[in-house]
Amino acid sequence: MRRKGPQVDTSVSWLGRLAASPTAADWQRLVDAYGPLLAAWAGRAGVPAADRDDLVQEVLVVVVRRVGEFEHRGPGAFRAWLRCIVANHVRALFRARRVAAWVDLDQLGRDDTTLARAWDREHDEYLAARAVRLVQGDFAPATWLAFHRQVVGGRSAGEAAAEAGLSLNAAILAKSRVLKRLQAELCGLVE
Amino acid sequence: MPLAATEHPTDSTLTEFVLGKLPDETGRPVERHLAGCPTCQARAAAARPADTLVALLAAAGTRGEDGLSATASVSAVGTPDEFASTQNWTGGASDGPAPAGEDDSPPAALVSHPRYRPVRQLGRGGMGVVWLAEYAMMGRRVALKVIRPGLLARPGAVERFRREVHAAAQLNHPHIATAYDADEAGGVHFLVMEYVPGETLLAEVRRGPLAPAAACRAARDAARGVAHAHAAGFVHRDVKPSNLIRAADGSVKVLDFGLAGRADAGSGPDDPSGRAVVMGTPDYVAPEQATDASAADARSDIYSLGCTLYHLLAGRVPYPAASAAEKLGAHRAAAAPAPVAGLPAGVAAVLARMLAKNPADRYQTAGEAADALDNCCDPPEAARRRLPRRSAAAAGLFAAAAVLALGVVYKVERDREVVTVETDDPDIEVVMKRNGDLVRIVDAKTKQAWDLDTHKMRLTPGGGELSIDLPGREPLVIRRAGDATLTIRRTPPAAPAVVTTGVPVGPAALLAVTDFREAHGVNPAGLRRWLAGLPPGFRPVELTARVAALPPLFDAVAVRDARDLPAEAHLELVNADRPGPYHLTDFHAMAKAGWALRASCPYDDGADRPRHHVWVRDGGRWVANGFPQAEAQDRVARWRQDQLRPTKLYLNAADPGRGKPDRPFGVLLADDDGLPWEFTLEVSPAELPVKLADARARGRMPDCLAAVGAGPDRTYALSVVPNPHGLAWEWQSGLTAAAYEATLAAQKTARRRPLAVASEGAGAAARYAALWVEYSPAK
Repeated sequence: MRRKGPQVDTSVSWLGRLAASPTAADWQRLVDAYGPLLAAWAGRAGVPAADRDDLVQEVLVVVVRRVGEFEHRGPGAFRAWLRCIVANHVRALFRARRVAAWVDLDQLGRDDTTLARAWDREHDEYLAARAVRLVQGDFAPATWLAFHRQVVGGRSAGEAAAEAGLSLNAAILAKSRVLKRLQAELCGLVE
Repeated sequence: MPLAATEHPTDSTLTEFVLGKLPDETGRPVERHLAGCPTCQARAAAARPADTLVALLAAAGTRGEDGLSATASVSAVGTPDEFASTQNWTGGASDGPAPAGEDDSPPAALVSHPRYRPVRQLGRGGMGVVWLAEYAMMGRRVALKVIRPGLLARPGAVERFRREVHAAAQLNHPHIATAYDADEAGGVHFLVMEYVPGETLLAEVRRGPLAPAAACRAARDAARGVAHAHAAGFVHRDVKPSNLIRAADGSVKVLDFGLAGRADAGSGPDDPSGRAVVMGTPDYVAPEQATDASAADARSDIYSLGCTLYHLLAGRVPYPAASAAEKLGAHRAAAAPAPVAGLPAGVAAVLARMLAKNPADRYQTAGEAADALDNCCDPPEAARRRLPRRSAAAAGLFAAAAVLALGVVYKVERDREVVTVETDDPDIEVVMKRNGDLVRIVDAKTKQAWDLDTHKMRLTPGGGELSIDLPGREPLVIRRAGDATLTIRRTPPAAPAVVTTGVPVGPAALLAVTDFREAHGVNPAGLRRWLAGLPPGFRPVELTARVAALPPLFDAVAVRDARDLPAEAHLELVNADRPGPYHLTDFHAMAKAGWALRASCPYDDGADRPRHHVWVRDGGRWVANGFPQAEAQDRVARWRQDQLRPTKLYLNAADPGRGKPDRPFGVLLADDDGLPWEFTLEVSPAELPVKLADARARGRMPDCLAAVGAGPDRTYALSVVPNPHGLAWEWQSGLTAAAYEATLAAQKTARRRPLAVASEGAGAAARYAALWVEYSPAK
């Protein structure tokens, strides 16, 4: 069903490489995966458009410089670490400008606040949406359709099988395999 | 615990399997078992376990493509959400024609866009609505093509759209309407492109067929543009009269390169890479493209251009069948289209060859087609446009006037150029005011008036608040009911003689300048105004920040006639905004940005960080960015292999370890031109004069110089190149701001301009270092 052989590069090992000896591809992945999200976050916090990219760049540079110090304490740890870096940079920016941020940056820096949870949620959904886009090409269209109908559309395996023109068994396998691939892609990055 | 193939898996094992959570060694046996056990298939199908990933995917799947669109969860905590602001516009228009009413006002995201101010709608097509907009910063007019949301709905479509537009932005040709950028605001994607005031050939041909020579000229222009794009690896796939636009000077430009491949509205089949390919427009599509859309090549564009030419000549499309399917069939199988009456034999032959069913029988390149068309373009100017609907006698007079190039010519000499206003229309009155500073033009027939400011080179229609900047090279033609009544031209003075022994390359070509302007100590707003007010042909080549000044102050140097930059280079000063993403490793965007200058300016906290950027795009340059100095030597070696030459080095943003040797930096690269260059890093301030003296002794000159770090720890990066013209140059450092300004004035008198300016240190201790280079080659 899969068109390509498994080439799963778990995100945890990617984080490890980023810390140890990042290649250009690892760095690119960081920029691709997090750049738009960080820019959106910065926008929400009130960072003017002119400064967002500088801020994103600063945050990513810090991630690269300090990822060695980052200890992977389970799912979501990277996300929380990133959120704190963003909060700190945004705070520094607004302090320097002597203007107020649009959000409570102290809340953003703590894990147990409504704001932090909302942003974590967005982080996860963003990465999930991105992972879905990334892996879709690895699966045959019928497989993908069967997976999508079940997981996103909330259909039963039987309905998905009928819609995709697959056997029931193939529809079950489709869901199982795509989810497995997505888990590998998202491993350690989302909760 | 591996499972025997005959054993039914437990509920929990089955659940984990369904959710993709079993490792391969336990998952495989379950998979094998399921294949032969309908009972367990039914169990698995019935199991709908709650799972965080599934819930997350379900939530993500209902959002926008990037997962960043508005959500209740974010709004609920009261954060302003700019992403939600355009939903009124995009909502409900995922496919099919846009609902009525949408076209009356620009999308909200554009109205509030910091860079572009929509002026009016120019038209709408299959891809979406096109708006005339003003680029806020420079007052430049651009066309914004807002892409219909449904067209970019496929996964990855947005990225592809951007990539392709960025690639197309490198096309720079007089017969191509240049794409500048792909941008996005509030989920609305749009293409920013050159605004060509004029009408499409479709509009033109709707009024009647064109004279053979005029049609051939239009097709020739288009073929030249298409040939340029083919050489760059682009196939247009959708050449047709509505994609060809007549510019003010009568020449024709091709629109929409880089877009046709994107029109995945479901009309075309997908190619194996998963990318949708456009079918083309049925009236103009090549037979091979009609059969297999991905088979389109350069010769398919030639066929489409042939159909376009046929349309211009005949006033109708080649196969005016009823349905698209019949049209496609006719392109493939029908005989040649009905002959056009009264066509010169030469034109008919060129047309027939362009319309050959077999690609091998056509012209093989658009350049060949252009040359063939060029031979059909006589008679000249008089028939450039179809003769207007006048009496025969008047037409004769018109032609005579054009042939004799008579008419009244008014001339205003400015210090750097000559402005001429030509008219052969008795109803046009031209009045010089204030010694030629202002030229008032009045059309007695239409009562329309224009004011021409010959200092600002700007034409303002009477009573209007909008004004037009006179184009630098092409004449501006004013028409009445389609007929040219007035032509305004700018003629730069003849360039001073430049010693050209062989082809000028690299810095020598850059130095072939005739003049330069400079601004000192201007704040960002002032800098923007200064840039906007520069005469055409001037481009900034150096921008330096005076550190520790509030508000930030800049020194800028603009140079005229820098020959190694194309005349059409697009300039942007980026402060409140910037074009496209340019993250550290976004090489693609950087490549497009091309000639870039960055400067530092302080935040209140004293740390200096790059904040203002000037980009001059010319498409052919590259930027390498964000690598530590330790890697630099390796990279230099690789650039050399890749025949790229570093031309400018700058420090990256954001490294808190200011002045530390591992501070990442970036380099601008230009084509090598076979120039033997030397690049040295980590030159200490003490070594620099020695290196420079050594270069001078060896007949070389500096080409790129930048300070890395600050204060006594700073080092320099230096590249030197041959100095074939023996240009004079001089290095100075440790200048205070006042001393720098005084020196600049003195150097200008000596016809030297700064090639590189570096500011060193911060605050009151800031010093400048400058490399002065002669800009008029020594005789």
